[in-house]
Order: sequence, then C-alpha cells, then structure tokens
Amino acid sequence: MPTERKLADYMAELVERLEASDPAAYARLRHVVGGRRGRVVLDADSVDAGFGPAGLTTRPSTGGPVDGVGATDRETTLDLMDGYLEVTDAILDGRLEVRGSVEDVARIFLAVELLLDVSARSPSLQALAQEFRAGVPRGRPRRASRGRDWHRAVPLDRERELLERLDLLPGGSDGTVP
Amino acid sequence: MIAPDWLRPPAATDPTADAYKDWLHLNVFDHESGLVGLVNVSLHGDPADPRARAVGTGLLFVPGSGWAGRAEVLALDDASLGECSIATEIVGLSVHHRSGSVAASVRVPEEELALSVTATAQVGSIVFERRPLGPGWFSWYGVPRLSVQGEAVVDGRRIPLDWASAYYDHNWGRWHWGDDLGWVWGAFLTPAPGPAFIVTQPTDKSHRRRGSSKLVVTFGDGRLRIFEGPGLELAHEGSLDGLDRRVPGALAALHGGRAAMRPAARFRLVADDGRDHVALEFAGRSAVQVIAADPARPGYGFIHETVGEFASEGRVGGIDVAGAGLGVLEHAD
Repeated sequence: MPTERKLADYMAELVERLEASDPAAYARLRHVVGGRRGRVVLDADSVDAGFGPAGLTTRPSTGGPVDGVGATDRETTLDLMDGYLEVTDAILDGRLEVRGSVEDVARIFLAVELLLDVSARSPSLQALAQEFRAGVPRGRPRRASRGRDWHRAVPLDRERELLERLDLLPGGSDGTVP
Repeated sequence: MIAPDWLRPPAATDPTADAYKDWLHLNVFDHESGLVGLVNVSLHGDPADPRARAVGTGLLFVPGSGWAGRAEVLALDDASLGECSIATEIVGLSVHHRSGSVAASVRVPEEELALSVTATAQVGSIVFERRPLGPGWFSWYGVPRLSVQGEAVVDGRRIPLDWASAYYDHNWGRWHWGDDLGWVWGAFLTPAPGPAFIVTQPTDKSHRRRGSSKLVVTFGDGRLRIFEGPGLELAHEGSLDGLDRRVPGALAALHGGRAAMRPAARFRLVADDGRDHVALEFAGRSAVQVIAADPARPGYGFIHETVGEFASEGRVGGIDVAGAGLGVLEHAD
C-alpha cells in the first residue's frame, strides 16, 4: 500500500530522528550543509531544503536556483537499500543524478554518508527505512547494466604483480589473497 | 539429540556487555540443484542499550540464477527471541536440542523467495569455548552435518531440499565490528553419508597475522577427527571477478571502496599428521559481502561468503575421504 508520507515529511523525520539519535552527527550534518540549499527529487516529488535557525526547512520546489540537486526514484532507492545496486552503478546507469559544483557534490555525498553511518546505530532510523520500504510497491529488483567501459581496466595479473612486489597483498609475500 | 545450548545475553553487571554478540547460522547445500543457502540471525550490542540490534540475513545462491534474498536490520526489541531462537521479519532460526533439529525460514515475498527447512543432526555437536578473537573472544558450537527436509522457492521456482546437506553453528562472544580481527572459515559437505569438512582460523583484520587453524572432519557414523597446528596448511589462490551482491545496501553505499574486494578463486587445504591425510580443493563460483556495523561505536566488519564446489581425497582413521560436494568459504575482516 503506498505510503501517506510525502518526501518533505520523510526528510523532516529523517533529520529529527538523526538529531535525537546522535546530536553530534546532527551538528556535523549542519556544519557540512552550512547555508546551502539543495533540491531533492524523488519520482515526481521535488523539495528544496536547507537549514535555518530552527532546523531543517523544506518547501516544494519551484525550479529556482539551488546549490545542488540529487534525483532518483523509489525503485532505485529500494534497489540500493537491498544491495542490488551500487551507488556508482546507479549514477552510471542514470538512475541516480547528483548535480552541483565539485564542492557542493562532495558535501552532498558527505551528508549522505553521515546519515548512513548513524543509521547503522539508530533503530529509529532503521524503523523509518522499514516504513519507507512498506510504502513502496516493490517490483522485481533491477541490477546494474553490464558492459560499461567508462575507464580502462588494469589487467588483473599486472595489478597483482605490482601489489605482490610491494608486499601489499593481504596474506603477505606468498601472493595469496585469502 | 545434540548438547543443550542457548543464547548467551550478558548479565546486567557485565562490563563488556556493549561488545555482546550472539549468532545462529545454517548453511544448506543441495547437491542436486547446486543451491547453497546462507541463513543467519544475530544479536549485536548490549540488550539494555536501545542501539542494540538484530540482523537477519537470508541469501540463496542457485547456479544460473545467482543470489536472491537480502539482509534486514532491526532494533533488538523488534526481534522475537527464544531460548535458542531468533526471528526477524524475513528470517527465523530455531534450535530444538532434544530432537537435534534446526528449523529455518526465509521469506522475501517481493522476490518470490522462500526457504523452509527442518535440519536434523546426523553427528554430535562440537564446542570450542572462549577462544581469542582480536581483542575479544568467541565461542563456537557447531553441528557439522545435518540432514534436511523442506524446500526453497527461488524466482517462483520450487526446489525440493529433501536430499540436501546442512551445517549449523552458534557463535557468541565479545567483540566490536571494526576491531583488529578477522577469520577464515569454511564448510565443505559431500552428499550423505560422506564426510564433512569444517575449517576455521582466526586472523587479524589484514589476514597477515594468522592464529591456529583447525580442521574438523566428520563421518556419517558420527565419528570425527580434528587436525590443528603445523600439520594443517591453508592456501588461497587467484581471485574471483568480483562480488555479486553486497548487503545491507545502506552499508554497502557507505563503503563504496569495499566493492572492489575480490575473494580468492581457489582454496586448498592439506592436513597431515603422519598417520591421517586430507587434501581438499575448493573452486569458488560466486561471492557476496555481508557488512556488519557495530551498534556501540563506529566500526564495520566485512564478511565475504564464497560458494562453490570442492573435491577431497585422503584417508582418516582408515576411511577413504575421497569425494566431491558443495562448500562455503568465509573471509571476514
């Protein structure tokens, strides 16, 4: 059954639960975001968000200028949550889009990392994830498309030879990789 | 009947309660279809701490179909606990010692995935108490071979498991994920009534410092033989192309660099004490990475499960241990 909660409600709830679970992480999140405003797009829902003196503020996006944009859909979010899709593959397949200056994009990913790290230790954030999952009609998971050559692969044998020569292989100089 | 066992939650006064772990684990090997099932339910952290968690992992590998299933993380209070049972929403595992049976269930409806089995011990249980694991310790209660009744449904396809083999263990102890610890562990089972081989070796996180390894060989009539020390050699060779799944996805996203891990493609062990001799060669087919987060402090453990086939040869106690079967090799760091 589709959830009643809208994207802005999820974002508000996420940040509120983060602050309650780990105030230090919340302070770091505010520091990372600073005075920037970002746009979050999930399917047809689009929200502009930033931090004000009272905490997170959100408003429906009107398409005005923002410092960074992150866009995806619910299906991709579930495929990421269930480990069917890596973040890199989601970006390369066009299922996750992040736009902004280099610094703003780096800050967006840092903010996401902070949230993920705390979610590992916060039952209330895990419960919110379960609620999100329950609210999305689940189709079959979509894995990453294969065969993308976006950089030249280093031949594995040469890579191993180099690591072995530098004694950097786990397991030591016998060349074994447990 | 197998020896009584139970979950080991810490006493309220235990100063190491924040490092508490309890872990029930069943592997199912279907020699007919090649299915390998990993069913794991675990408790992490001081039960009195609201951050304590229960994790349920149900992953099935079927040749030609790949991996199905997922891992789920719940507050410990949201899991259903018994004397020796843990159930989350998608995974449940319960041990009944009087009948020597382990009941396991996995339900992931969105993938048309289900597993429902009752595994019955064919050999006795083995216990190793309070062994060092990094700065902490662990205990291991294992049943190397169980028979199986039940079935799996993968992608809507029904796979009977009445001729499958299973391995069960219960681990408990005190450690924090992210500590300087790791291990190698493997279970390799021929079809019944052939031998089962269980190997274990504690290591540091980099796998450069390796503790004393053990090989347990059990036979259908219940006899067992343990090799350990210098007479046992383990070797890892080559590497698989990569990991086919990483779960839970949120933790995988947090550790993108870990997606590059390439587990060993082959594993060889030789055990020889001058009287008995075992040689085993395992060829990995596919691997997943299960990421464990510590509830009490920032720290993560990475458990790589490689499934594949193996062949063995040798003689133990005058019994020929030549055979072939399915196995799981685990590399944790």
